[in-house]
This record gives sequence, C-alpha cells and structure tokens, in this order.
Amino acid sequence: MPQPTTHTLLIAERNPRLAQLLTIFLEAFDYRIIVCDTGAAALELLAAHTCDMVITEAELADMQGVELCQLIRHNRNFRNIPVLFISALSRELELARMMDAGASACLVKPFESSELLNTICRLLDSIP
Amino acid sequence: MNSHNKFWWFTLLAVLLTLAVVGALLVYIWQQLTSLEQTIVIEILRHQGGYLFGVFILLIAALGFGGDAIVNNYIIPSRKICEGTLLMQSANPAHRIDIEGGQELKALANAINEGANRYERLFQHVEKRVEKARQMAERDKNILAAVISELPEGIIICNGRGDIIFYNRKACQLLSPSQADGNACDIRAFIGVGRSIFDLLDADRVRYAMDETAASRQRNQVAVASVFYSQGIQGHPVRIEITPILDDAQEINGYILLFAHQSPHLANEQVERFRYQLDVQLRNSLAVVQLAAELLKDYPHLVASSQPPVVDILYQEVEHLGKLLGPGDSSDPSDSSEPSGIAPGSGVWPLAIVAPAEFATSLQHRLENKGGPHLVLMLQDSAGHIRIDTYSMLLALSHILRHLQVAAQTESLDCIVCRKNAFVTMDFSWKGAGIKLNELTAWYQEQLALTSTTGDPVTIKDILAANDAEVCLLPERYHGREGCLRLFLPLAEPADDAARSGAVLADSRPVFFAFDLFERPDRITSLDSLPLTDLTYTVFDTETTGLEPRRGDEIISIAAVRIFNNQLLDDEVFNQLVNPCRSIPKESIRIHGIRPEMLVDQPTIDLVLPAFARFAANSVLVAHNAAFDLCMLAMKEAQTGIVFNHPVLDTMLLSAVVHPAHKKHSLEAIAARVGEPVTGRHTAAGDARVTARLFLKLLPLLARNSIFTLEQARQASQKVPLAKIKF
Repeated sequence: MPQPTTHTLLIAERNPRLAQLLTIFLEAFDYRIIVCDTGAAALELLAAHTCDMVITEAELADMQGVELCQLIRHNRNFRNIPVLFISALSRELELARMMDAGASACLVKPFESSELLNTICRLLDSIP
Repeated sequence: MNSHNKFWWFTLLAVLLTLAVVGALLVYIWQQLTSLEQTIVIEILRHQGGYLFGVFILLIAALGFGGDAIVNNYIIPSRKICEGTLLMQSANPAHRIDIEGGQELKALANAINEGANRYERLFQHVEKRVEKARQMAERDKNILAAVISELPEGIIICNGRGDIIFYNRKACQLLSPSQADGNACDIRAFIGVGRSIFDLLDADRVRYAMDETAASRQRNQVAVASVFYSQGIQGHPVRIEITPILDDAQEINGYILLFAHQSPHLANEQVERFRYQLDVQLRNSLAVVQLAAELLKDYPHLVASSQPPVVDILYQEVEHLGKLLGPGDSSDPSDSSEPSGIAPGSGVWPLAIVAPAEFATSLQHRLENKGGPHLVLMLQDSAGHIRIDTYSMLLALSHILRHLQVAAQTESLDCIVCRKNAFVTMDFSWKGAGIKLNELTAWYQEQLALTSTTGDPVTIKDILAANDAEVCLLPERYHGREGCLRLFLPLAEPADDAARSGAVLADSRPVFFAFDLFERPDRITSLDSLPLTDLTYTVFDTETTGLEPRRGDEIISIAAVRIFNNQLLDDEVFNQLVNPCRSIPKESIRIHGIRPEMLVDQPTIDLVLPAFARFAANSVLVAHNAAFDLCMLAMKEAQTGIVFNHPVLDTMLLSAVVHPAHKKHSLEAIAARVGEPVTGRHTAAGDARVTARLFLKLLPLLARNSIFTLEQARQASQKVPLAKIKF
C-alpha cells in the first residue's frame, strides 16, 4: 500500500453518498478533502483553496466533467493540477474525450479503492 | 355596349343624317326659287303645314316601330343563335336554340338545331367509346389507387420543384389536418395536389435530403434514399424517406416521399440509448456499493468510527437503486429523470452511416454556399464510417465554425480528418486569434432553426449529444496554429440493412392522376400572364347572418374547394361552421338552415380565417357574386390581420362576359345554360362545389371569346355592367 502524504483533494461528485464514502476513505489516508457537486462550485473552491488534485465525475449538475477539465486547463493558475476522472461513462469515445480535454487519468466506475488510492498517489508524485 | 343599344344608336344616327341631307336640299331649292315662288310656297305651308308635320311624325313613328321589330325579330335572335351555337359546340351539346323572331331566323335556328342533333348523336357515340376506354383505365387506376391508399406508409410524390402531384390517405393522416371534419383550424399546412412540399415540411430539411440523394447518385451509390424525421400531426415523430425519380435521361425529375410512424430503427436507437443511460446509473450506484463493501471488509476501523455510518450510506444507495429500477414501468426511456449523456428534449435523429470524407466534403460545400470560413480538407486516414445525422451535424458545425471565423478573425480553417481507435476526429485549426473556452461553451447553448422529433427547439449541445459527438478546444498550440477544435465522431460498422436502392425509372411509373405535372414549365411569378387552364383556384362561398356586411352581418359558414390542373379536386375541401357571436335572423335560417345551436361549439372567425388563408394560399379566388363574399372577408381584416389580396374571378361576371345577350346570371341560370345539375344549394360547401363546376364550364367559353389569360378574364369582367355592384 502506498504511503500518502497530506494533500488537499477537491472532489466534484453529484452523488452525495459516493462523496461521503470517498471522504471517509481518503481522510483515513490523511488527505484533506473538499467536496462539491457542481463545476461552478469546483472552480470557486479551486480559487479559494490550494488544491493538489481535482477528482471529478464525468457528469456534474451544471456541466460535463470534460468542460470542467477544459476550464481548469485553460486557467493559468490551475492548469498543472492533476485531474482524475471517476466516470460512469465507459465508452471508449467518452474516455478518449476526457483524456483529450486534459485529464490526467480516468477510472471507470465501479473501481476498487486500492486502484483509486494508487492512481491518486501516482498523479501526486508526478507533480513537478 | 350590347347589340340592342348598338342598333338604336345606328338608327338615330341614320335619321339625323337623313334629316340633315333633306334640310340641306330644301335650303338649296329655296335659294333657287324666285321671290314670287317663295311667296307661293310660304302660302302653301301656312295652309297645309299641319298636314305635312303630321305626315313627318307618322313617318318617324313607322321608322321606330320598324326598327323595334328588326331588333326583336332579327338582331337579338341572331345574337342568341350565335351564343347558343357556341354553347352547343363547347360547354353543353344538349343545348338547343329556342328563339322568338323572324321566320328566316327561326328556319336558321331549326337548321342549326337539326345539325346539333346530329352532332350530339355523334358526340354521344364518341363519348360512349371514350367512357368505355376511360372506365377500363379507371378500373386499373382505382386498383392501384386503392392499394396505395391503404398502404401502411404515407406516400407523397412531387416533381422536381416540390409541387405535390400525388398523395395517399395515410400521408394526410400523418401530416395534415383533416380538411372536412371540423379540424380545419389546425395550424399546419394542408396537403394538396399542386401545393408545395416545402410548405408542408421543413423546407431546408427537405432540400438537404433532396441534395443528399442527388449527391448519392453522382457517387453512383446503390442506396440513394435519404431519411430524416419530422413531427407528425399529433406530435409523433414521422420517419420520412426520400427517393428520387429519374426520367429517360436518368436525370432526377421528381421525388417519392415515404412517411411512417417512428420506425423500428428509431425504436432500436432509443432502446440502445436507454440501455446506456441505465448502464451509467448502475455504474454510479455500483461505485458506492463497491467502495462501501470494501470499507466494511478491509477497513473495519474506519467503518466503526465513520460518521455517517457506512452501512447507512450503503442502505441509502441500495434504496436509490431500487427507485431507479422499479417498481413501475421502467421500460420507457422518457421516464428517466436522471441526467444522462443525452440532452433532455433533444429527441433522436435518425443516424445514418456515412464516410467521414463525404461528411467533411458536405461541410465544406455548406460553408461555401451558406457563408462561412473556407475549409482546407486534409484526409489523413479517413477509412471507416461514422454514424451521425448529417443534417443536424452540418447545421451545428456550420454554426460553430461561423462563430469561430468571427472570433478568431480567420477566413480559412484547416480540417484534418483522421481515424483513431474507436472514433474519427476532425481537427479544425487556424492561424489568427485564439478563442476562449467560455466562448465555445456559450456557442453550445445557442438554439438552431431546427426542431427535434418531439418538436422542441434544440441547441448545438443537444445535437452533439444526440449524435454521440463531442467538440473540445485543444489546450496547446497545435501544429504551429493558434487554436484547434477537435470533433470526435463515433466509428460505426458499414450499413448492412437493405437500403432503398434506387430510383423509379420512367418506364415503370404508373399512369396516375396529375403525373403530367412532371413536365410543367417553371413557375412564372405573375399569375396574370398565365393561361386560365394552368392556374390553381380556390372556389369558395360563405353563408352569413344577412346581406349587409357593413351593418354587422357575420359569416357563419365558409367552404371552399380547389381546382388544379383544370380539375375539381374532390378530396380537398375546406368546410367550416363559424360562431358569429351574435343572433341569426329567422329569415336567413330559412335560407341556409344553420341554427344558432349548431354554432355554439364552433370556432370564431379569427381562428377560421387564418386556416382558410392557408387553404387558399397561392391560388386565384373564385366565387359567385364575389363582391359580397370579399366584402364579408374584408370586414374581418382588422380583427384577424388576414388580408385576402389574391386575384379574384367572379362566375357571375364571367357569365355576363360569355353570354351578354342573357339577362339572368344566377347560379341556376348559368347551370341551365351549360347543362350542369345544381345540388346542395344554400350551403357554403354545396354552393362552392356548384360554382366550381360552372367555372370549369365557363373556361372553354371564355377561350371561344379569345379570353385565355387571367389578366384578360379580369379585364373582361370589369367591363360588364354587373361589375359596378357594390356592397
């Protein structure tokens, strides 16, 4: 099991139950978790807090995860933050679209907790 | 001036001339006389002047009576003989000349009648043979018509200009309001022979489909039919398939349009989309269940201290999953209230299998023709096929690229078409200013002049979602360009279903009503110069509460029939009772039989006139005593905003043009002259039908009088005395 360090993760997820479970799970590994359910809220929180990673689902209440990712990539201040998609959309086209929009990695739901943790660690390690 | 008046003017002139000559002669003789002779003449006139004046008056009276006898016995009868002969030769072979007049003219009339008897026998003999042949052709035609009429698919056939030349009952049911059962106020256009298909359906969409079939033929494709969906009469999606008709030279000179309710193809697409939506929902829930299960199994210490308890979260998710799947009928995709990959209200377009290169070329042409940036195509690896609705995608992409042209200040875009694993990308890159992502996002939300199969307006975002397509702005500089938009399109297997392969060849076409319209010349803008036989007519009549439109009388019934291609179209009837919102005098009820209780639930005139205007669109209005009916319509212009500025012909005036020697020009009088039975009088529908049949009988009589065009008919009508009647 990788040894996580203290980082702030912003989770954009519409399903409050999944957001709760992710918070319980990731806080146990010393991550600081900020949760929201819309793209607009995610952008506001990104501006207000120093976040090390964004975890977003593919479809948010107000925009697609892809749009949020593009907005992050086009913002000078956030463009280097890793963006991890946890996506219920599983078609190859949709996943390719996420990667093309600037996603750092994609996990298709349902995913194993260890897979999520490994991916988060890998992406945080890759930050220069 | 009629012949009776002409004669009397001539007689008066002759008498005046005679008097002038005699007077001049008398003056001359008077001057030659000596003063003695003049004295003698004055003396004679003084004593005998009374007698001479009496003789003069008697002479004038004799001339008058003689002239009147000539008029009544020779002038008028000869005119009637002329009109009667024309009638027998054209409109009514059974007509016979019956005149009061001189013996010579009576003998002439009898001789003409005898000739007419022989002509009628010959005519009837020929008619019988023609009728026999016609019945045989009609029998075949009726079998074919019955088969086509009862087909489960609607059929419309139109010529190359989009004029409808054939339609069946099913097409009417799917697309057009019922024209005879009180639903005439539906907002849709009417189906009818001679009407334009572009008025009935989305003109741009139909033109695009026609162009698509033409392009398929140019590429020598086996499948040339183009398919799209439109909204039917009750909001149901209707599948429309357009197939070209070829002439002898293999050129397209018409189209067959097949209409059907939502097809299995569309149903399958919806099922597939629903299945995927369900898949997405299940994956969302499974993610919760799996994470909760792992926490419970692998991290019991976390679970023990978690707030809220993981078990509660798990229970809530299972409950949510239960709601998602049942308990009711969950098989209807439209019941899914959760957000999904399909934009709400976008409806579903029929997705066709096309080659990416073809689609890119169509986009290039559309941008060139409709104004947009120049597209430089680069086909890197365009093998494979994509599955999209080309029309909606072309509309959406053209819209985005035109915005891009302005925002990026560029006139030219490179378009690289490239196949990747499971999709095809089209990269639109440019030199010039970059664009911001929020600009692109704003363009997505714009509505297009296109409706979904459910009739809702759609945005570019809806179209992209319905086509499973995505557009993204690549974040980095791209191949030395300032910006690049990437369009993702899903790859698809080539079509394997039996597509409609082609066109109906000229030698296989059935002999059927109005198919000669294929050969009609292009429309002429001005109707005035067109032959009367080539025009489309709306023959109408109104029933009213009274005869004084300017004193509050109202329309209570309006009916119309159409004449097209010189034929009365029996199936195309507009017949609508109108609630006048006032009482109806008993005297008028006695005439038309329409009682107040019959009108209580009927629409008011402000609803009926717009529908009637659509029925009468692009036609010449015809009525008997049209001045009255037009006055009734004109009184409602301010209330309804509907202005009837159509050309108008009046059968009463036309009758006076062709039968100037007759004083009666009522419907009954004209019908008696042209040998047409009169039925259903004093109902708007009955009168409109009778008027239409009489109008068709008057057309050859007008031609006999050298009146061939609409302009000539209107000018001739204005010259008859009856034209001066005003309401």
